[in-house]
Amino acid sequence: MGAINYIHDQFGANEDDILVMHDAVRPFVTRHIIMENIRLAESYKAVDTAIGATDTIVKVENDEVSEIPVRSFMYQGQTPQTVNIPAFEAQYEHMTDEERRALSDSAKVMLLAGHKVGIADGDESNMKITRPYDLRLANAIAKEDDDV
Amino acid sequence: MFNNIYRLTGVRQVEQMKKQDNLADPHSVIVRPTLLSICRADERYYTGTRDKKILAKRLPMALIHEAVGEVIRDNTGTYEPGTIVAMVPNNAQKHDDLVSSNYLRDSTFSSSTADGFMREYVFIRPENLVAIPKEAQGDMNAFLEVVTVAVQAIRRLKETMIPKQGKIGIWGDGNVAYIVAVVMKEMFPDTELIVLGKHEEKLSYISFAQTMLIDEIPDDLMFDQAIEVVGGMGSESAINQMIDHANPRATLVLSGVSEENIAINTRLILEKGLDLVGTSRSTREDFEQAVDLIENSSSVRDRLGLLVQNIKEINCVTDITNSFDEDLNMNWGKTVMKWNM
Repeated sequence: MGAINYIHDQFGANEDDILVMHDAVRPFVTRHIIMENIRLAESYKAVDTAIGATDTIVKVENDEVSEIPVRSFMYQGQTPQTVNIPAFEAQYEHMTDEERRALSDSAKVMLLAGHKVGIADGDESNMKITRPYDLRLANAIAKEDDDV
Repeated sequence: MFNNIYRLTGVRQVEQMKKQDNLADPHSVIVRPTLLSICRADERYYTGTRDKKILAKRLPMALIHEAVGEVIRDNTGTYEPGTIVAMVPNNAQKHDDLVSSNYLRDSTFSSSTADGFMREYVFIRPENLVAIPKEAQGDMNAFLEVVTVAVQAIRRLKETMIPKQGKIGIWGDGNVAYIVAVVMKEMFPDTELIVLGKHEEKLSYISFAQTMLIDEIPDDLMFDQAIEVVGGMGSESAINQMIDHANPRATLVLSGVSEENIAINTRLILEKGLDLVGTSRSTREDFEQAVDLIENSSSVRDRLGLLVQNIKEINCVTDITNSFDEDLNMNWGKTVMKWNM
């Protein structure tokens, strides 16, 4: 909302305004992914970036496997996530403080509001640097051109 | 910034690699490639048919040297953002008053001794860019580089030949021969031009000049000048035919690449006092001339437009390899890739 308020202050408010949000911990996003988000935002009020899961996704509850969904339906969510600003604002107004804290995923916010969420193709290189191991991998990728 | 570059890493294998480029480099123009075209030379790398030692030395390397793009930012202040530009693949390392950079041994060439243009953004010197005015813009800009190669070949002919140009023969029926014929028609408008080739169906694309099959050449048909655009093992019989049908003191321009050495009739070259001229690649000047030609002639635009036989939207690496595979199977014409990577 901070970003949205800034946009309103600087640029006003238009029906077609979209906000493309990206994790700072994903340094390898490509132009193509960003353009896809913008393109899909023409037909969807929200867009999520994701790639098909390569590992089978397993749901665990109480230390036991409770569900194994069909892999072909499972995607791994990345960013950017894109929302239509007026549509997002409308939904945000309805949420309680608790809900606002609990729901960190804007695609989920929009989905729960009843909007269709488009899918932009992510990329395996669009990794999130979460753990030390990821940083080692990211450094290797960042320097891969040195050996060419 | 992290730039993405799409390199050939093995036979028919293209991979995205990260490359760090300096957004603030004061000598760079940052160009977003928009239209790319595939050349037989790229295909030789892609299919692994180039010499194994050369492949090992050069890969991984981005292919494609035929490309145009849009200026996104120019740190040198030469071009306005939004300008459509052709990218010159020849990179001169030094200046020589007598020898143009396309013939200097230390020049590098994008997609051969340096990365080609399959990149998210190309950081390039302003000297390696030529603006394309609105009237000259179109999908066929993708293979503008080939037009510049034709311009260079014809320039080499002009600077060498004696002033006899009643009849000029162009040997070859592929894409490059076609483009040479289109440019020759403009630069030698009063000459009788004959394009000679092996394949009737390819020659039939040429509506603006006479065509002839190489096994139907009358014995007494003689040319004042000739250009060879055949390459490969076929260039041996082509060049020997050119020698046979050349008038004394004719200039024969050789432009087709072959990996193997070929045997030619040197005795006749001596007897007729022929000039053999080698031509390869092109310079910035050729790009400027090519752009002028396209801008000022609607027939050149139409004829070049005919070569656009396959347009591919490129949204993922598979689209790249599919384009290369399809291009291999094309009998005639060029593949134009709309670059969305």
